[in-house]
Amino acid sequence: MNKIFGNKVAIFIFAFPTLLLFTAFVIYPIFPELIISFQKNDGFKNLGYVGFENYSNVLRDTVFWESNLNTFIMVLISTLVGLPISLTLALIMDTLSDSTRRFFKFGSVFPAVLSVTVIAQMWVAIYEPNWGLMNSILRSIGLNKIALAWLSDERTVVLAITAAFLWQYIGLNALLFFTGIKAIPKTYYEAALIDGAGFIRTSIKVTIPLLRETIKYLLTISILGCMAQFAHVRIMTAGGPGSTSRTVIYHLYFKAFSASDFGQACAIAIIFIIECLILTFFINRFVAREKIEF
Amino acid sequence: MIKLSKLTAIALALTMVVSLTACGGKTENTDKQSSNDTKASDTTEEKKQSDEKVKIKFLSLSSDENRNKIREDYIKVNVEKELPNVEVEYDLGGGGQDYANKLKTYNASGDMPDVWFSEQNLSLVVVEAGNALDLYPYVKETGFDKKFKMQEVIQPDKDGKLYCVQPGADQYFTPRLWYHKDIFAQHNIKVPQTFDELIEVCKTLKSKGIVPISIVGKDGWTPNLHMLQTMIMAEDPQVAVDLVNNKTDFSNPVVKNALARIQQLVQIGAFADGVTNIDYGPAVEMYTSGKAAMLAMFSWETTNLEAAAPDTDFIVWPSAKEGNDANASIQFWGAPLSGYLASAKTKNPEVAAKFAMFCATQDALFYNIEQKAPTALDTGVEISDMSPLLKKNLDQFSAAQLKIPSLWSAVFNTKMSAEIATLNSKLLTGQYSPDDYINAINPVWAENFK
Repeated sequence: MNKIFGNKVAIFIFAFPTLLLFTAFVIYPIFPELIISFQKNDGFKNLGYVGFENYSNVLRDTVFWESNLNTFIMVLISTLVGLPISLTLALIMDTLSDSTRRFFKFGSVFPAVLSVTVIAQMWVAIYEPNWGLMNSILRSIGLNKIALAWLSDERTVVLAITAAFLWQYIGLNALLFFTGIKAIPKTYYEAALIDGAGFIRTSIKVTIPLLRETIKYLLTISILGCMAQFAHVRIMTAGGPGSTSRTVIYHLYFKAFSASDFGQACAIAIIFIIECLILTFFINRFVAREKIEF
Repeated sequence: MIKLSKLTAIALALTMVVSLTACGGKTENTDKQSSNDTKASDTTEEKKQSDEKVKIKFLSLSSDENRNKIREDYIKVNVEKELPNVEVEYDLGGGGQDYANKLKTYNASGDMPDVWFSEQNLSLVVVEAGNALDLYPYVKETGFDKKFKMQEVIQPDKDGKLYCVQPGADQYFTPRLWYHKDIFAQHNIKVPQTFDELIEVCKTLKSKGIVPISIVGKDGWTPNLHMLQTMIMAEDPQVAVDLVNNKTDFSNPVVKNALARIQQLVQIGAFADGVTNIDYGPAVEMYTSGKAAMLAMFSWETTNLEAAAPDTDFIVWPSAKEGNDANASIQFWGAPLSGYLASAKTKNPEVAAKFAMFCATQDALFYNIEQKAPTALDTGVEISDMSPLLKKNLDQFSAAQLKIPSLWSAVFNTKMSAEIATLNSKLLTGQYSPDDYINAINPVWAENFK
């Protein structure tokens, strides 16, 4: 076995089908996109090369920056609020008995396996200004003043959408953290117990540092997942009111399929690829640089 | 172990040889048999082909009740009788931007449904992409054009092509301000004659916990389709005519005032909470259920509103300038490319064209029979027992001296429609100024006619 995996030709043969698919469906489409980004293109024909005009229009477009800000807010909330909640849930799950844990595990996965459409529609109903659950609760406890039209108010719409998709994936992330916790050898916990460490101290000093690989993985998929956020926005608000809740991907979609401006849409796509590459570089550079081996 | 491998290899080789021989023999036999039966099968094949149904994929709007009724109660019911050789695959496309995006995606891929329904701004995109079939030869061949009372509805364009067949009902549709007579009477409210009176009525209704005006706010639907133009016409209808003919732009003071009036309505709470997220169905339901006192909607909903809310009446949109007679001008929905189109790449152009004409006829039948509404396409149905409301609507429509086509349906291209929808949605937040609106839309408008 070691002989096979030490042989570079064998590695290439095994990896070739995947590399071929990756090149055909991920790398190759970037090139036509790059070419279209320099054209005036309505999606059907090239109406002439315009140099960097599409890029300059995109970078001067306030809606593009607004959609970047929205995406950034979603990424920030998802990583700074969502992941800590998932981690806390995983730590609590680790302390539960098997039967209770099974219930929690089911509850964690359930929202993630439901269709985004179902989840988004459910949250639209929750946020409904007159009879929705959110405002009914607020009114019942006398907080009428903050019973807002959550999805129509420019101040709350982005946060409202973020809460919906955070809710959908918080449990799944907790489960992934829990799997990471289970991979930590028990000896570390036994040592901590002998030293008299309690739950919080053990979590901070033992579990979290040894979960760096899982944290890095979840950080990467959460950030990239939020960067590509589209479905919840499409269903819940269609990017509205106006363009207030558009993410970069939604703005790209709007330019391509609503405004029929494929030149600008491709320019947005290229800028977005660069943004994602920069983010991935920083995650790899600064988070969990050393591999942990137990 | 080696013995076992060898045995397996031999067994495998033998199995393959046997299977190949068997397959080869079968083919030979089939070939022989088929060559002997050529003559007989030719005749059967011809008969089969004439009996075989042609499959037509039909994309239709599925978010409003009228479109659903036309499809379910007329097209589906009558297609077997009138086009027995056609098997229809129904593709339900939703409504509004969802429908637009679905059609645009089909258009981008070039894989269009055989026949579909679309409004002018969407049809234009498909025609420009070369994906629409010229229906003129089929219309002439079948004499379909002779059935039209208004011949301009079925005339080819300057290139001699006709890409769309329509029932000619749209030409009679106009936006109205529907209201519940009972709610007005109960609260002792008089029907507003001017825009200022409308503001006062809205304030009164709002103070009584009733939504003053129900509108479709999602994607800025109501301002997109008519409210902006209505507000322009409330002050000076000529400005709307000038916009239609590209003789002015959005920086015209009348347009700015119109935007300010919509903003004012939002700011006084004339529309429901969360209006920017209210879709077509919920907006109509809000009115018919009595939660809203008024509804800003086209006259295509007349029959539905009469049935769901019998105390319904309408007023023409109140004038915003002294001396401007609100009854004198009217906007109508129809446009040359609003109706049924067929794909240029359809495998059966003749059948697709016939199906498109069939759909236009069924559409007209629906309006003639169910809505008691006239259509440019003469279906032979005598419209009798017209309800008082339908008659009032038609009389007022006919009496208006100036009929202006809808900017949205007849003038805006796809980019203009998309961008103005975003801005109208922003306008409905009440926080977006008319000046910002004008600065954002004028560059798009400048390209609209290019």
